[in-house]
Amino acid sequence: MTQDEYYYWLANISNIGIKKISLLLEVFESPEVIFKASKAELLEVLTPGAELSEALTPGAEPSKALTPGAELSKALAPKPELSKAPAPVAEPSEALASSLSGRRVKLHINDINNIINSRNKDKIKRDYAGLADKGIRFIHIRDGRYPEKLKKIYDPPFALYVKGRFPKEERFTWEEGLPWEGPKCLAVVGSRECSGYGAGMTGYLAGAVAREGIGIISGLARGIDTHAHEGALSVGGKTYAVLGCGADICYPRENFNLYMAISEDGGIISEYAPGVKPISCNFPMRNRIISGLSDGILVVEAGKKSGALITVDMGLDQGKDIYAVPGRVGDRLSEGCNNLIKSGAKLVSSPDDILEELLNNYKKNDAKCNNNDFALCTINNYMLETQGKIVYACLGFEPVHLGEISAKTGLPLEVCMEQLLLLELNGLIVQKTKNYYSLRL
Amino acid sequence: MFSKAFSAAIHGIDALIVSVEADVSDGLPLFDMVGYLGSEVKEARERVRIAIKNSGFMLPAKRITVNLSPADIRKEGTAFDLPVALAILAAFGYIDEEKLKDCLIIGELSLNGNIHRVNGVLPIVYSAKQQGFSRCIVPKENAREGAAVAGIKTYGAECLKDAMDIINDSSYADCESVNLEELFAAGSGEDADYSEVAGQDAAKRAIEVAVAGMHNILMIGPPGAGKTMLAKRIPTIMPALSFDESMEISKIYSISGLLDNRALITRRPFRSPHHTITPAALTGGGMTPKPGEISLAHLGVLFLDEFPEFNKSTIEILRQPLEDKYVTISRLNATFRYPAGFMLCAAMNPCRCGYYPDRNRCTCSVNSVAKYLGRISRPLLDRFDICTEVLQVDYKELQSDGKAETSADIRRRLHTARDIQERRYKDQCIRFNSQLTPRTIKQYCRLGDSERMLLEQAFNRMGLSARTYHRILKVARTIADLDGCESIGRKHISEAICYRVMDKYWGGGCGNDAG
Repeated sequence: MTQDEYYYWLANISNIGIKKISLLLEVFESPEVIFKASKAELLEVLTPGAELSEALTPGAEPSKALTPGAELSKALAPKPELSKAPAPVAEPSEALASSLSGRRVKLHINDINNIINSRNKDKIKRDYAGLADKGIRFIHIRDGRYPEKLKKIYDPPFALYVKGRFPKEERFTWEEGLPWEGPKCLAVVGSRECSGYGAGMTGYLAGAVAREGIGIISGLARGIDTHAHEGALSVGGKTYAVLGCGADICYPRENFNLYMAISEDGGIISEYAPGVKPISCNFPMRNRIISGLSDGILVVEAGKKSGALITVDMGLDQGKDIYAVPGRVGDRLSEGCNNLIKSGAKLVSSPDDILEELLNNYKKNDAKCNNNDFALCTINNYMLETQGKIVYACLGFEPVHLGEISAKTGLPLEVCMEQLLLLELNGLIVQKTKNYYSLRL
Repeated sequence: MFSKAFSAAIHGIDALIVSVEADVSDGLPLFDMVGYLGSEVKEARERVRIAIKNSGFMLPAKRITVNLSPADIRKEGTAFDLPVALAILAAFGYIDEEKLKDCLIIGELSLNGNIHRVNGVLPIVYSAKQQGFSRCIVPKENAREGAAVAGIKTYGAECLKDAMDIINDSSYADCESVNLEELFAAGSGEDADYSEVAGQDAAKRAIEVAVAGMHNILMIGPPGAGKTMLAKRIPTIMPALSFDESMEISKIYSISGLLDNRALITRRPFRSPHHTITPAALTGGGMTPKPGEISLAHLGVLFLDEFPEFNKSTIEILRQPLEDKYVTISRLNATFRYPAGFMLCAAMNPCRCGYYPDRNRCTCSVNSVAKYLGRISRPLLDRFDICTEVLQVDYKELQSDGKAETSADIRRRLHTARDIQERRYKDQCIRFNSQLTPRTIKQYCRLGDSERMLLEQAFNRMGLSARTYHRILKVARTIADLDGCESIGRKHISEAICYRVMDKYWGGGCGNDAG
């Protein structure tokens, strides 16, 4: 068996998660050693754990003292941007081990049994080969290709499964194709139940940012996530989806076309093995990967208690920049964003606001329309009748009903309908739902 | 002694003449009734015997046999009590049998000899006239129904004795009469009016177009926006009923026992069944079929509020009657055909909470919106030519006084459109634009070059289906008729496209079309 297969085996033992794996790797050198260890040797692992717990049990103080210490060391660790030097492979595990000593994770005798029972070479080899058939790559934490950015987060995933058509030899090596080795990345998060405004802004911003070569990372969920991926794909940019289920499962199913497109022009990333079902508790966990892989997080529409804010919290812990698209006061869906801006997130009203932070020598392009009038500059390209201009002028990003348009413009209904149809056929406006119109972004 | 009286049974929406034969002969005292009788008709035996006794006639101990013919059609209902009693009395010689010959008799007897109301008097009297009877004796409570039929004398009898007086005394002048002109004049005074609905101009216009061409209409809007109010007023802008139409509807109501001693139905029906209605109640049914809500809405409006809440199997039944304008109900004994030429008006919320697409108020997920709308099947949706959004009314509009159009104003406008259609289709078997088929659409909905271009552009850009295309043309035809235009113009097409039922609404995407 190859080393990768040993790692694959270790990552997929039932009831053994990243914390127990770290504990095992602390004692044994590599997965191969664990695989070949006798039961007696494995049982010894229980002892240091027991000692640790004995040392901790008499009083609560030592554990309390340890925990802030660990956090302190994390806080003192160099910022991601500053540490450009490649870290030796052994380092993360040491860092892991030190942070681990603060946690009370114990191996149970059942875990030892699980380890022994799962030592089926044929099955492991077969499963590992099955990954390649599905076009999924396995990258473990000690692999040179494992993203440095991710090693720096609090609890990095032990392994990543990546589905994507890498490498595209003629353009770049496959490491370059992954979000962590290429140019910078922007995470785009937001509500699943987005408004037309949110959908439009997401597509527009994601597209404009992706056009500059920045990868767009999101979660393939409904709403903002979907529009972020679509926006990036529409300009031929790269986009990556981090899933809360196996990389071979498309969830939600209606995004299947998007899922396929992303695995062509970007990558599907997951810390869960293929076949893992999208259960709800996986989703907050994957947020740490979304934020961990990115260089900045853009929040477009988030309610007061939106899941997107979990990503933001994790991003803040990881030292990422937060960008937020403002909404109107009182809009339920923009409450979270406005609160973020209030507490210091960067207000984004045009793609430049993000690009100038992410790219070192980005020059603002004044010729381009900025957000305030990009809608207006398109209208001048069309020869519209006066009535058409009147109708157009009373539309915004929020869908407006036909009756309201008629009342606002003072034009009779029939005229409004005719002008709206013309505008729609010219692609200037969209009919979001029946008889509700808004500007096209 | 043998005698014979005439009565009638309801069969579908028509009446069938039944002769009631009675024979009195010597033998063991016995009262027997034959002729494929339902149990309520068999029970007439006791009612008749006691009613005769209590009306002061002596029934000698003889063998009485009553036969209802034709004997192969099942008789049901209580309307045979009175003719049976009169036939027996004639057989005993209390009545001159000759006088029963031109007289049709219906009515239920109570034990003291009083006559109670029965259902279906109008179609029975109508049939009697066609069969050449000159007199009808009906319960007093139903007398006005019968009186609406001209050319036959209808007498209302309160008790058995009354009925005998009417028969014996051919000069009995007190026959029931109804002044039809007065009735129709009184009937057109509506109590609801469109001027009471504040704002909602877009929805009103859509309804106007729908009524003009008898298109089915679907209204979508938040709760409390006034969908029900708008729908209830649809009959007020429909053209007044003609006498023939009124007779057609009144017959159905008479059979269902809903005429309530009004002589005729003079207003367009408006039926709004609750969404818990069963399939049989909607289309008609039962062991002896009765007309359902769709037949009661004939020539009027069937309003289905909270459309997605209806049982799926119930509303799917509407598909065939909507096409054929009648409903056929088959039973073991017979097949009945009830008219169902109604205009369907349905109202629904856009989602469970009702506020989609207002994202500040709507708390539904995209999925649940799609699921809610998905309760209505595509084929049924295809029966709606017009779909309109009803908006929440704001306070300003509620307060604005009196500028709104009255129903009479709208009806006047509609009149032209209806006239044009009547003239256009006078050689055809159709009456309204909504009944156009793809072949006749080609004939009557010719487009100019510029119109064709517009429609082609819309077809390609909006991804319309062939069916949608035809519906747009039909509605455009109606809009042009409302304008009094012979040819369909660009604005007519634009408006028709605005009214189409959007596929996207049913795709459930919130702006997936952006970008």
